[in-house]
Amino acid sequence: MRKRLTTVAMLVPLAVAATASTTANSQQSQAASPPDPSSLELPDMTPTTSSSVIRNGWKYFYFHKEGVTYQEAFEDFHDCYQFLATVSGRSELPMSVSWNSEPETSEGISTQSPYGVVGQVILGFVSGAMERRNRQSRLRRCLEPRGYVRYPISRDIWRQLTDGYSTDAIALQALAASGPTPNLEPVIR
Amino acid sequence: MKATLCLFLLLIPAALYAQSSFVEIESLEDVTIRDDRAYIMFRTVRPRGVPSIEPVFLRIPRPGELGRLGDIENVQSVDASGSLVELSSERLYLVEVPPGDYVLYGATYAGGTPHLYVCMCLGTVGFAAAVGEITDMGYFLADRVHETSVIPELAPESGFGPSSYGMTILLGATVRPARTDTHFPAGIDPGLINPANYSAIGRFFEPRALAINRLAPVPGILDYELGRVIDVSSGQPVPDVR
Repeated sequence: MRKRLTTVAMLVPLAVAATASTTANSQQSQAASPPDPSSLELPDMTPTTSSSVIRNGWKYFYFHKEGVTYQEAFEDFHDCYQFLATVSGRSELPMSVSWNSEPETSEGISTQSPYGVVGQVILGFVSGAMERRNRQSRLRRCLEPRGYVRYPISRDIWRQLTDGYSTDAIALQALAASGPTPNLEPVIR
Repeated sequence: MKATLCLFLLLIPAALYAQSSFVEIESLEDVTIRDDRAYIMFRTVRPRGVPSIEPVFLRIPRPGELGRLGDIENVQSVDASGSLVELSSERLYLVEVPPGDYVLYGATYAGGTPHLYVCMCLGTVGFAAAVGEITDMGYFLADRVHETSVIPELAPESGFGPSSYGMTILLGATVRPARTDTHFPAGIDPGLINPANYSAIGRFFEPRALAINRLAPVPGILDYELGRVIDVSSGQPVPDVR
């Protein structure tokens, strides 16, 4: 058997539970109320003609789904943002995990999350490109099965749109996702 | 002497090596079915280019254990080097485990200290491992999925490209349930072997995972509809776990 390094810190109860609703098929978890889209300042989403932006579309992209409403997109992003929560420096195999139980607080895992779930959204030990790709990977796995595709945008537009993955960015990205379908080839890498 | 002992004690790291509650049985001579333990059996395949990947299981805590989380160890990987039978095309594992209900929680690369490289947080399967029985999972299939996998069941859930991985290349996995023609080792009473009765498991959160994914669909058991986990047997969506 392969023994597992176990620090004393790991021996405290580690329970990860969401504050999300447990109603059936709660993909939308807690009811999400999108802000008035007219109050949002969407960056310029004019489809790019830059070959370098298109070539780097696998790095900087936004999600879009033809026919989705702003409300529906907001709910999808709000739901998927829950999966961005990570615990800094704690990638080792957890020893004890609750399941379907009441939330428990635990050392190192905060019950406060800007995304409405237990867990600290801290990626302090990674930065820059790695942090971006880590979050993009999670959003891709959550959104693409729902029919979202990706389109290339410039790094500047991407930064405005994602706003450091703030909660404000959820509405912005939902607005972009529900906007006109760009005359571009989707990103496939 | 005392000084030496004190120095030795000071040098002992705070880290402790935990004894796993999973016991990989590596020899047919060691196969003894205890009446207080359960047994999980599964096979892996490694076509050329596929790395060695270990399944990570979660045993659902029993009600009496909920207050003792931290005293129990209910998340375990299976050591890829601990196979019972090694054939040219596949390996077979027989693992002694605490009886209970299990979830295929995630996967980790073999070797070194295990990490939760990926959690199957977006949908997976569970099964019961009954005491005194061998629960045959069939095959545990896993691969990196930034490129299209050569494993047929994983091909549709792979090829995601470089933007699919962050700190580590994204892993994908699924199960191929045991069939009547599935090989099992001679020397084990076939009357003790029962195919896993899989059920679809809904989404859950695991912020300690390096990446998230979902188990690739399992015909007749697990499917998805626009991201919702579907229990194929009932045709109904499966609610989130937590």
